[in-house]
Amino acid sequence: VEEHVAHRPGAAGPTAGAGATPGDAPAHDDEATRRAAGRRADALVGRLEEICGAPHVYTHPHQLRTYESDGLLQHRASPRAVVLPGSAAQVREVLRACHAERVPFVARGAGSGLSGGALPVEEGIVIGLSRLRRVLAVDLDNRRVVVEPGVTNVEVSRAVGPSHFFPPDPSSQIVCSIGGNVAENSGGAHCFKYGFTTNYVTGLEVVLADGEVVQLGGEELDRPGYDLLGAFVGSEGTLGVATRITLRVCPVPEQRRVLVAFFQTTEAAGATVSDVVDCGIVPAAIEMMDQLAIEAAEPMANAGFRTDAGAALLIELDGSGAEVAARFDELTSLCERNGSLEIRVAADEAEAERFWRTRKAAFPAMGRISPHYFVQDGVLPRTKLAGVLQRIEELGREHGLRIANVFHAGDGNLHPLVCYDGDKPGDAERAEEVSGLILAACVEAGGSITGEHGVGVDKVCSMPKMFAPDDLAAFERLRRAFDPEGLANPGKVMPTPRLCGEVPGPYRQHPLERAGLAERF
Amino acid sequence: VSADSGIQVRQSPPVFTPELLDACISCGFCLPACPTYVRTGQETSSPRGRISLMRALEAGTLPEDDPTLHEESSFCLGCRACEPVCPAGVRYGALLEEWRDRLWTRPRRSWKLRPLLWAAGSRARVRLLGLGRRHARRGRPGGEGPHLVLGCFERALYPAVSRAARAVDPTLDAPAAQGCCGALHVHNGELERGRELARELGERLPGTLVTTAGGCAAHLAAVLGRERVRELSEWVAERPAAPGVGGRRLRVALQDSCHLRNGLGVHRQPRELIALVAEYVELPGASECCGGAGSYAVLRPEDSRRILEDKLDAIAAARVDVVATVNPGCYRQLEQGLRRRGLREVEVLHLAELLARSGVKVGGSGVV
Repeated sequence: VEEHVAHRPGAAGPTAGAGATPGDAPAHDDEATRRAAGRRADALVGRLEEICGAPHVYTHPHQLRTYESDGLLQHRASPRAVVLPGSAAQVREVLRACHAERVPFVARGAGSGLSGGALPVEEGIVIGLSRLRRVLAVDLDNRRVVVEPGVTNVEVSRAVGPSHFFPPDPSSQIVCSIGGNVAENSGGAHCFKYGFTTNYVTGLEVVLADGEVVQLGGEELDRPGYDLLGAFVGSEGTLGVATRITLRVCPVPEQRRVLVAFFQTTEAAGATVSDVVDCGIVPAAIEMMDQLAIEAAEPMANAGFRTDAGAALLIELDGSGAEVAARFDELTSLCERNGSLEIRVAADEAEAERFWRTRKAAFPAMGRISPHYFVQDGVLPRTKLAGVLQRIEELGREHGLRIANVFHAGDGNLHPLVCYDGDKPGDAERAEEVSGLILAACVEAGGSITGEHGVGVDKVCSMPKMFAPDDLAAFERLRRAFDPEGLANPGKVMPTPRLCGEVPGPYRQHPLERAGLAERF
Repeated sequence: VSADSGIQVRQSPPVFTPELLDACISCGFCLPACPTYVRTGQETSSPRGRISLMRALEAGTLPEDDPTLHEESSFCLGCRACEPVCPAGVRYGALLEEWRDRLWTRPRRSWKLRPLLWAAGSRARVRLLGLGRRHARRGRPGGEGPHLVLGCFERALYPAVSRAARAVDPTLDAPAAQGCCGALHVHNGELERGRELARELGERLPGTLVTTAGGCAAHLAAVLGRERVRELSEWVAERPAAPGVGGRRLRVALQDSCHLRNGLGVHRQPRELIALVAEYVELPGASECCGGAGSYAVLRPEDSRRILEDKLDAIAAARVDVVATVNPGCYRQLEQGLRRRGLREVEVLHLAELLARSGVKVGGSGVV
């Protein structure tokens, strides 16, 4: 990354969302910059058509409609254009063209993210990577696979199966793209044992915001020098666009066993999780669903989950046959000791699949019991689970909202689903408030505001709860080192005064910087 | 921050049943199941994208004559592959019917559709379609049944299918004086007429209706109730039958009927019946739409052929003798596609024909 803060038009870079306050001088400046960028984006369309072919550039407002949001529906913005490049070379040309015109861009995979990471910027363009879906190389001897960013998570496992698999498995794995997984450092049910996406990415070909192509990492598991790969994975599209992704894969374990244990209460299920972990058992996955979540998901998956139980623990053991058998007995006795109502073991692959489907369909299945809901993504120390769950229940009661809980119990990653009715006035606001309070409870308990869904726009205003202004300023400098103009996915991850309505922002440009007379290192 | 601001809100009556439209939470799980999204990579051409268009239409932010709206309502195959994968249980097929009912009004309807809907629209004309064709004829309307539904275009194009169905189960009544079930109308913008036709057929043929077309089965079940409708493979699989004795075991693949599989959840039965009389070969993508999709092959011939291409590749690679179908639309689509490809060694048959040829007969001593 050679180019530093070389050129900076206007204020702190274009940002998404509305709410610019008239009369506020910097915001005014910002507004003018955005309008100018919007005009340049319109002018850019012809160039995009030259690069990718007219059929792959969309500008009709109604073609753009579906790109207005990702899986987080509460935020919407219509971009100036959507372009679907057909090759990495086209991505490079598109970014060069954007850079020449100083037009911001947002990369988008399948648009299944839950934090608004792929929310378009109104004055910018969306680069859809759905056509970059080739598996470029499979090298099972070295446990390696090279793919384009639009390949779905499940297709990676399919490409290396049946002998190998790609462990990070977000619930949306049938649809979410690997490029999105890299951007969000996605997790999934099997992260407790196997780790997150970042543990599996060994190399990336990245196009930076100015169109420069750089290689981060390689085929080896580790490399000398600074870990730029580590910085890129989880950067939520703010550092550039990955166009070629080298991943490590794992051999499929000799045996897998999936069971579900039902409990009267979430406390009993939570205590079981603690016991399991304390015992030194490392299940491939250990997932909890509360009653409301089971009620929503069961009609979709038809796995026979008990809807009268207060909580279900879904546990998968894997490893050698002997190991699984020994651990299985330990596990069932721990469940029984904590008063499990019933333990069901999946009889075959098909039943295990149904068990998993119940869990993986839990979020969208909420649509069956509530017209709208917020998904939250807090992390907390496992030992604080019972207390935080109780707090969530209280919050629900106080605000008159139903809250379902689904979580990756092993690593303390909680997904409360706050149900509301968008047609009832005030309901959405209440739900949003409760979501914020839940996150605050997680942070208070020593946890974090996001485990795997990313910050996006959804949690951008919670960032100051986690980080001091100096930390945020350091982040911002890292980002500017990759993308000096702030063209890549602006408005995400980093809070700005305009987005969060706060006056003392974490990073404000000095007037000299804004004038391009000084740089900050 | 949406683009909707400043656009006038329409006052006309609602297009969609609100609960149907509200169910979608835009998770995107439908994308990989949608043939048009998989082929274009464009989200506007996905179920989620189309539902966002429907919502714009409902909200009045999009006029009824908008070209994108029209294009997407017609580019969609209506295969309903998005329904079984939808965690929120969105009934996309029902939404599509309501959508087309509003958009495809007479002046905007394709000229190609008019003669089809007209011909299938009355019982007398449907009878004329079958005139001189040797489809099954037995019994009179009003009898107790079970009744074999003869279909509209099937009786003209594939009259042998109903005869084969009666050969497999001779107890089936097949009165010639029956009309179209209305599926064609429901899928092409005449929702009320399509339901009316189904009700008429239900009154004319009391008791159980057995059909040889997956599309008709799904539509009849939606209007008359699931309990009154059986698709032929279900019907045969539910009863004891004598398997026939064959010579060389043929390699037979199946092309699922989309509405039978995605609408009624029937996919096991036809496979089991084939395995009874032949070597069953599961084609990659057997459950995916062949592009026939009812009137789609007529309305959008190029897209229809493009969707068929992968399937023809799979058939060629599998070296099968027969591809069995359970719906006349798929029958015609595959027959024409294989002929164009020059794959003359592969025969397309209706499952009923395959069973009849192998001598399978319901009411025999064995149990299927």
